[in-house]
Amino acid sequence: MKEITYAQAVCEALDEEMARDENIVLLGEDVGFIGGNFKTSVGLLEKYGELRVKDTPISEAGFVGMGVGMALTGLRPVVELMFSDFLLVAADQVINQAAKIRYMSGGQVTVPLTIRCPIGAGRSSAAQHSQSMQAMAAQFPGIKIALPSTAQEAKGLLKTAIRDNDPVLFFEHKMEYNKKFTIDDEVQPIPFGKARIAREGRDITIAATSSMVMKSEKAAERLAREGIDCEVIDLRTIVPFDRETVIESVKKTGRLIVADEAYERCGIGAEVAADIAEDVFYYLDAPCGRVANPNVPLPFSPALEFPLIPSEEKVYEKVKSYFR
Amino acid sequence: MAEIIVMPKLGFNMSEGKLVRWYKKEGESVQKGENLFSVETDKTNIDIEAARDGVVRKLLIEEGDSIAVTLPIAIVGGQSEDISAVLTEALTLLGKEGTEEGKDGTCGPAESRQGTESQGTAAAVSGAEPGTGDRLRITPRARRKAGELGISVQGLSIAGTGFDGGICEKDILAYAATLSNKVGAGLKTGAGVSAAAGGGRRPQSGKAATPVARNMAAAENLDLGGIIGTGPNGKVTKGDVQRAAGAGDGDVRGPAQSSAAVKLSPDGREILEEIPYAGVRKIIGERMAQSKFTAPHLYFSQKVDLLKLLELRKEVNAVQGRKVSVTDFIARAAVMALQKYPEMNASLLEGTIVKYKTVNIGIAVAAPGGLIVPVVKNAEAKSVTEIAAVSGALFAKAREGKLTPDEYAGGTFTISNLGMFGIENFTAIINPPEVGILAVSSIKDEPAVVAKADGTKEIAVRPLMNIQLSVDHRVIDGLLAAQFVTEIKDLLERPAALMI
Repeated sequence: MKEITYAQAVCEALDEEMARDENIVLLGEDVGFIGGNFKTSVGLLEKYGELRVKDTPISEAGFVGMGVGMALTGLRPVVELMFSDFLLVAADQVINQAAKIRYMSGGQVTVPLTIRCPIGAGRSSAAQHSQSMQAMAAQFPGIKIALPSTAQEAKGLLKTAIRDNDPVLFFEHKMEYNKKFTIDDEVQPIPFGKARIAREGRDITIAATSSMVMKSEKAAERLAREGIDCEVIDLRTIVPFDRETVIESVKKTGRLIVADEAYERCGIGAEVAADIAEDVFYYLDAPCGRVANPNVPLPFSPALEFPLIPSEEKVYEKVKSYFR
Repeated sequence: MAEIIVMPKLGFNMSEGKLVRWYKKEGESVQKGENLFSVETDKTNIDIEAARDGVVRKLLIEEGDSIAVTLPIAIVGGQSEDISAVLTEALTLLGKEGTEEGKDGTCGPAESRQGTESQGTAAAVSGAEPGTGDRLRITPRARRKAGELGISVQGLSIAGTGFDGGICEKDILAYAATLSNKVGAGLKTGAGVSAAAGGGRRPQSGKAATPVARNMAAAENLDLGGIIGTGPNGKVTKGDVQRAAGAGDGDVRGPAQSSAAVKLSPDGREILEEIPYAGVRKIIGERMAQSKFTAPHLYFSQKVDLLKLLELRKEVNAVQGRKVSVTDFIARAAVMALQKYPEMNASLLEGTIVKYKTVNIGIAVAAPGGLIVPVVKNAEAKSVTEIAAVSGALFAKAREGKLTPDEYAGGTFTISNLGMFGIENFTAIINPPEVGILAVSSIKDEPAVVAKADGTKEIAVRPLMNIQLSVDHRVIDGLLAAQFVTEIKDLLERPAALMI
């Protein structure tokens, strides 16, 4: 066991995978000389050289497209976008190319491309650099979507993402990068589509993604002192979605709250609740609830920004509203 | 620049084409506009011209081969150009050089959506509670628990402590505890769904298969070598793999698959030959099935005395060069009958009965690829000899398989004459979207009761012919059909009318 930051865990995953497979290359703005905007590739340029760690121009459509091409020719590119908001700049490459090529070729080629990008508000980065794009991205068949919560999860899931033969959108949370976590000395790849029960409980299920997992665990600790026993599920990946684990949990607890930082409208909470509704309807003891970003752009002013961010307090309040 | 020539898609419904002729051999040069090859489509042969000048470097399929549209069939390029890259591409498209290593068939992005065990017990609980106006506020889970415990929720008046003051499971349990009834066993939670663990993958042989078929075979752990391919050039298709997988523990599964010296049908009988149900055969089959299974057929027979008509035909053929056949006379009779009864010259099209101004008579012919019905257009304006001229030319083209779609489309009524094969009588299926078809059988000398001029009757030997009309009863009633077929009989027995 050791203590490292989330950013270091990402860096270790990249390092270990690159050492294991020489086909893995890194692309992105400032991934080389600077070592990553959020220090997630420190030292990799020096270790693996300019051929495998490429600083790119500020041209997301260009270098994501380059990654798609590299993937088609047998490389395993890991492309970093500085903010998940910039996915929209490269949307055609991600949605129309990477996600479609395996299907349109009848399975003759695959696109083993990993796109890493940070999500989340809390840094006063304003409306264009604070969004969480996972819900939008989940609309499109052909892309897997991972949302690691802890450093351990980030390291294990990133290894799986890189080894996967299909395009993976890997959403890291920018507010977690500098936080320290306890992590195993050796972290094995964590399979996609298998959720983690972060905390067992019998009264209510909180299905969460990314940093909402930690916020939900903290809320659960508080709620436990008040006699409400929460089960916290770390969904890990929303595509593929481990519906069985959520269904089993909701059948046990009878209540579900989905906590995800993307916008509420057409968001992960809406999807999870609707997806499992047929299987759990006669087990529900309360309507399914959501904790998500309200349907407004994120403001620059911290005084306005923080009240919008889905927080530990909001999870706590939502759970409390179910128990009178 | 070498170029791949593909099987063209010549019609909306064309999924594959049969290459009937290469006009050029490998190594021969071809000019733009020159015929390069000939394709048999669903109904006819169409010559395809070269789109540019070049040398035929490689023919990828042989005459007689069928292949899916848009797949490569040839490479045309420069005289001494290196075509290896283009050839590799073409062969890959044909599945002859599959390089599928490292592809993991299960890595598809679609997530598993297995259903979980259904445990709905709604039937155990009464439905809506009309009661006091307001609907009882009780959660689905609480209602379910009440049902399990045998508690009627109808008229239940307990305080809810759940979401928004509704009755939740806890309230039902508390209520149950106050009753003397025993509290039932705890909730059964649904059994977890265990995804079947994928076994080891069977390495696939080099047999030609489509990418989807290859992936499916890998997922099903089937040996491609043991699957009969029905695609172009024996390529294994998705359907073949599905059939093989559906055959369960049949002869295609398992490593001990022996060579297919004797092929057995699923029920263990020896197979002489297997022919794909495709192309013309399938189109005829599907059209006939559609007609017979959607149009309720009614049948009306008549026996026609052809004594006068055969004499007339002899005279007509003696005074003019072009031979007129009995079929041409029958066609003329049908045209005249259709003009008298225009309800028969009609189609049922999307809920509307459409009667046509012109009469287009289709005459069924046995062509090399199967049945085809060339159409004599505007037959109402044609004499018997004119009908004979047009039909003769159409039959010749049909027998060579060279009819264009325009020449076999647009019929309003069909005649099928099997008289030359000595048939006594037969029943025809309507050629949709027409509403009637006339089946014509052979002419045979038979004893017949005939009326003499003085009104007495006698038995005489007469050339008699059976005709049978099939009509679509959705549109045509029996009376009309009987009148129509009798009109044809009368016209053929008083053939002077046919020459007017």
